[in-house]
Amino acid sequence: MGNTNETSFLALGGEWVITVINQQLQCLMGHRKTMLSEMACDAREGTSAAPGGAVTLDMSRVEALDASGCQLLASFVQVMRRDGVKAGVAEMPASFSELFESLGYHRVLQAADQAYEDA
Amino acid sequence: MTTANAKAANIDLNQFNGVFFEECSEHLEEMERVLLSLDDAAPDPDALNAIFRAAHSIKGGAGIFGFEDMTVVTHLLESLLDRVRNHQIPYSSAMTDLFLEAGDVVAMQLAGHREGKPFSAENVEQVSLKLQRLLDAVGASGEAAGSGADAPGAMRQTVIRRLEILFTPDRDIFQRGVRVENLVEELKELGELQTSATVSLPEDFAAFDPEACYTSWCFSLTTEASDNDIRDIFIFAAEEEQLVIREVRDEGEGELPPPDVAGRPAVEEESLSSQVHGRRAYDRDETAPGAFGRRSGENESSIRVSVSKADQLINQVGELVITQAMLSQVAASIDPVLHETLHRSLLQLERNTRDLQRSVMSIRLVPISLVFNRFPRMVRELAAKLGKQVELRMTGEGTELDRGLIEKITDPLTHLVRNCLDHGLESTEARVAAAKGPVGTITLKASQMGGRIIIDVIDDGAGLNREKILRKAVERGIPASDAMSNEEVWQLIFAPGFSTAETVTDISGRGVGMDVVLRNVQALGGRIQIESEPGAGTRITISLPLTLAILDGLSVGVGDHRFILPLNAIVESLQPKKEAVKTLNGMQVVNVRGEYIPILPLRELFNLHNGVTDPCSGIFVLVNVEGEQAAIMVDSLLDEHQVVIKSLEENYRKVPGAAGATILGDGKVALILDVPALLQIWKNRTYGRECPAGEVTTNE
Amino acid sequence: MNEQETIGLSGSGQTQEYLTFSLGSEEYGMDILKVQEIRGYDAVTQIANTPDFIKGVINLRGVIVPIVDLRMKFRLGNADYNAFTVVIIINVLGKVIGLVVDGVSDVVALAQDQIKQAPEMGAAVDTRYINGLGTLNDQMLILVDMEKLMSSEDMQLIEQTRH
Repeated sequence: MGNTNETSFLALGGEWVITVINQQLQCLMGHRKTMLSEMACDAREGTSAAPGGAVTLDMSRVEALDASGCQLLASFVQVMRRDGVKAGVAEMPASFSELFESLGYHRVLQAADQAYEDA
Repeated sequence: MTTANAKAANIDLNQFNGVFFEECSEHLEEMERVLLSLDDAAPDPDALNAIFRAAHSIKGGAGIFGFEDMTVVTHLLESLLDRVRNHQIPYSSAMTDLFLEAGDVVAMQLAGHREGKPFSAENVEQVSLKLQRLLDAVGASGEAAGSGADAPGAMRQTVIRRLEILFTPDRDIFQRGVRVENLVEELKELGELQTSATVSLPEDFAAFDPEACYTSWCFSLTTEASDNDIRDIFIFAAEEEQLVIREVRDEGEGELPPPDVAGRPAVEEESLSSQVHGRRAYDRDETAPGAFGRRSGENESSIRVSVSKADQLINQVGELVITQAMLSQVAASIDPVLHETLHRSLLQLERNTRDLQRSVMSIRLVPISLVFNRFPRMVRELAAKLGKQVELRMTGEGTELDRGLIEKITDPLTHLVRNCLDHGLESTEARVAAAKGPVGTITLKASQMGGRIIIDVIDDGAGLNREKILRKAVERGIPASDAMSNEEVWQLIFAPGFSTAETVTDISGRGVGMDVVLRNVQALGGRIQIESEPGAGTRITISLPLTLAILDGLSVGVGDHRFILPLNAIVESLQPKKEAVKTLNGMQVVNVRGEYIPILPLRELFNLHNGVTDPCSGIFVLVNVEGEQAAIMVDSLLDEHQVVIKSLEENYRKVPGAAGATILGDGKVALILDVPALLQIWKNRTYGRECPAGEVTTNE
Repeated sequence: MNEQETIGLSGSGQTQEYLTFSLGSEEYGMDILKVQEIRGYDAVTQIANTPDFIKGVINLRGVIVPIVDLRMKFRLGNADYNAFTVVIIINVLGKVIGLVVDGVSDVVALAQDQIKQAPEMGAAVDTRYINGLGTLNDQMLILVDMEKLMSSEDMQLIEQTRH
C-alpha cells in the first residue's frame, strides 16, 4: 500500500458480536496502525497529493452482526475519518444493513461523512 | 436478527438463565393464582394489572435471554390483557380458561428450555391461534361498549402522536445482555419508527472498549401508544432518567439533540402502572397503590438458598448430633467429679446442638399451601369435565411441614381429592333430588396437633356405601364380615386389590388404588382415618409426623437389641408389682391406678431370642396413642436422646412396627418403634385376626 | 485362585468385566459395574421377623443397608463369620445391599464367546438368575444376574406389589 490515495479494501469476516467483539477490535486496530504509519510515512515523504487515504470495509464475509458489532464498525469509521482517512463500509449483506439501519448507526456514518466534508 | 445473534446471547447469558427460569416460574404461578381468584363477572382491575405485568415480564425476560419462542404466546397474551385492563374489551370466563391454557403452554416451553423436555409445537400453535382470533375479533382500535363509565385516567389514549425518545443507556448494557435489537423491534411494533444512533468515542481510541456501549439513541416514533407502553419496553434496559420521551409538535425535527441532554422524567399520563425504579422488572417497586400480587418473598428480607444446600446443612447437623451423642456416651464412663468441667461443657454442647438442630430443621419447614395451591385449578377443571358443580374451600394453608413431606404428600392428596370429585360428590341432579344444594363442597384443612400434622379432605357428598364396600370386598377375596364396625368397613377400601378397573376411572387414576395412597402415607410415618355418613359426606384424615428427620426418643433394651421409643408417645414408665399383672380375655394386662392396660412384650413382637419373659423382671413403658393405651415391656431403659431418623425403606423395605432406624453413638443400628403400628400388630395377633398386607390401622 | 487374564478379543463382541467370588466350592461372577465396595463383616443389627439369610442391617457411612448372606440363601457351605468373611456392597435397582460371601477373587473380563448358556440342571442358584457360565482357564464361573436375583420374591428385599 504505497500510495494512500488509493482505496484499500479491508475484508472483514467472522462474527461481529459481543462474545468475540474484542477480537474484531484487535484486528481493526492492527490495520489502523498500519494505515496511520503509512500515512505518516507518505506525509514525510510528501508522496501524496492530498492528506489521508481511503479504506473500505468489505463486509461480504461477515457471518454475524449485533449491536456491539454495529457500534464497533460505526466507531471505527468515525475514528478513521477523524484521523483524516476516508472510511466507508461496503458489500453489507441485506439483513445486516437492515439491522445497522434499524439501530440507527447509518446516521453515524452520515454524520462522519458530513464532518469529513466540513473539515 | 440473525440466529448468530441469538447464539451469542445464549453464550453470554447462560449463567443468568437460572434466574430467568425461576422468575418466569414465579410469574406463571402468580398468573395462574390470580386468574383462578378472578371473579369473571367483575374482574378486579388490580388483578388484571397483575396478570398483565406477569405476562409482560415473562415476555421481556424471554426476549432478552433469547427464548424467542416464549415471546410469541406471551406477546399475544399481553396484548389481550392490555386491552382488557384498559376496558377495551369485556372480560369473560372463557378468557380465564384461555389464559390458563396459554399459561400452561408457556410453562411447557419453559420446561423445554430448562430441562430439555420436549414440547408440542402444535399446542403452542393452537393457543396462539385462539389468542390471535380473540384479538382480531376485538379489532385493533376501539373502545368496547360500556367503557364510557371509566375514569379518565383509565382510558387509553388513542390519539396518534409523534414522539421523540432519547435513550442514553449505561456503559454496560451490552455486557448485561440487553439486546437493543429487540428494543427496536418492539418499538417498531408500536408504530412508525426511525432510529438514529450517536456514538461518543473517547478521545483516545486506544481506550475504546468494544464491549462497552458508547451509543445513545434517538427514536422518532409515530404511535398511538402511551408513554407507559414505551417505558414498559425499556424495563430491563433503562433506568427512568435514561429514557426521555417527549412529544414533537412541529413538522421537521431539525437537529437531533446531543446525546447528553439531561433527562427529565417523562410526565406520567396514566395512573395505572407503577413507577419503574429498577432496571429489571423483578427489582421494580410494586408497593405502589394498586400493586397486586407482589411476590412476598422479595418484600420480607429473605435469601434464596438451593434445596441441596439446605439439605446438606441438615445432614451435617444430623451428623453433628450423632457425634455429640457419641461424646456424651463416652463421657458417661468418665468420673463426673474429677472431670466436672468436661461434663458441664458436654452438657452445654448438648444444649447447643439441640438448639442448632431445631433452628436448622425449621429451614425445611414450608407452608402446606405449596401443595394446596394446585387444587383450585384441578378442581375447577375436573368439575367441568364431570359436569358437577363444586366449590373448594381451604383452611390452614399456612400450616408448616417438612419440605420432604410436601413432595411426598402431594400424590396421595391429589388422589384423594380426585376420588372425592369422582365418587364422593353426587351430580347436580342427584344433589337437588336429595334436597341438598346443587353445589358440592370439598374442604381441605390442615392443622398441627400434638406434634403431628393433620390434613382433612372433607366432602358433603353421598358418603360411603357400607353394603357396596362389603360386597366388593367379598368379591375380591378380601376378608370382611358383617360384624365389622363402620370404621373397619371404610378401611377396606385401602386393601390391595380393592380398586378395580371398573371403579378406577380415567379421572381417579390409571390403576392407582387407595392401597397405594395408604402405603405412601404410611411410608411417611402417617396414618389415614375415615369417617363417613351416608347422604351427608365423608371425611378422610391423614396424620403425619411433624418432621421426617429428627426425633426425641427413649432408648430401650431387650436382650442385646436396642430400640428407640418416640418420647411423644410415652406417658410414664414403671416397674410392675406381681399383683398388678393380670390376665384378661387371654391377654396380659397391668393394673395402673385402676385401669387395665394391655401388655406388649417387645421380645415377642419382634421374635427375639433373649430378653426378659417375666413381666415383673421387666420394665413397662406406658404409651398413649390417640387415646389408646398400652404397656410396652422391655428389659431396661437406657437413655433419652435425640435421634436422626434414617430410612429403612431406602435400601431395604418397610419393617412392620418400625418407623425407620437410627444410628447410635456406637455406630450400631437401632430400630425406631412405630407405636400405633405395634399396637395394631399386637391386637391382630392376640385376636387371631389376619393382618392384611396393607397393614391397616384403625382407631377404635 | 483365578489369575487375571485379558483374553484376546477374537472379534466376537465386547467384553464385560465381572467380579468373581466364591460360595461354598463354586465360583461365581457378577457385573463389576454393580459393585460399590467390599467390606469385612461386622456390627450387623438384627431385624425381627426376617428370614435367616437376611442377617439384618448395617450402618454404611450414615445409610442403613441390609445384609444378605448368600451362603445361607443358597445353602452353600458353612456360614462362618470370621476375619476373612467378606461383604460385597452392591448397588442395584437404586438400592444398596450387602452380600455375605466366602471370598472375593479378581475382576476378570469375559468376551461373549467365553460364555455358554447354563443348562437347566439343579444348580444351587436358580437358573432364572443365571446369565450364563463363563470359562476362564478351565475354571467355570457361574454368572449371576444380581438385579433379577435381588428383586425376586424369595429374597424378600423388595416389596413385590411395587413394580
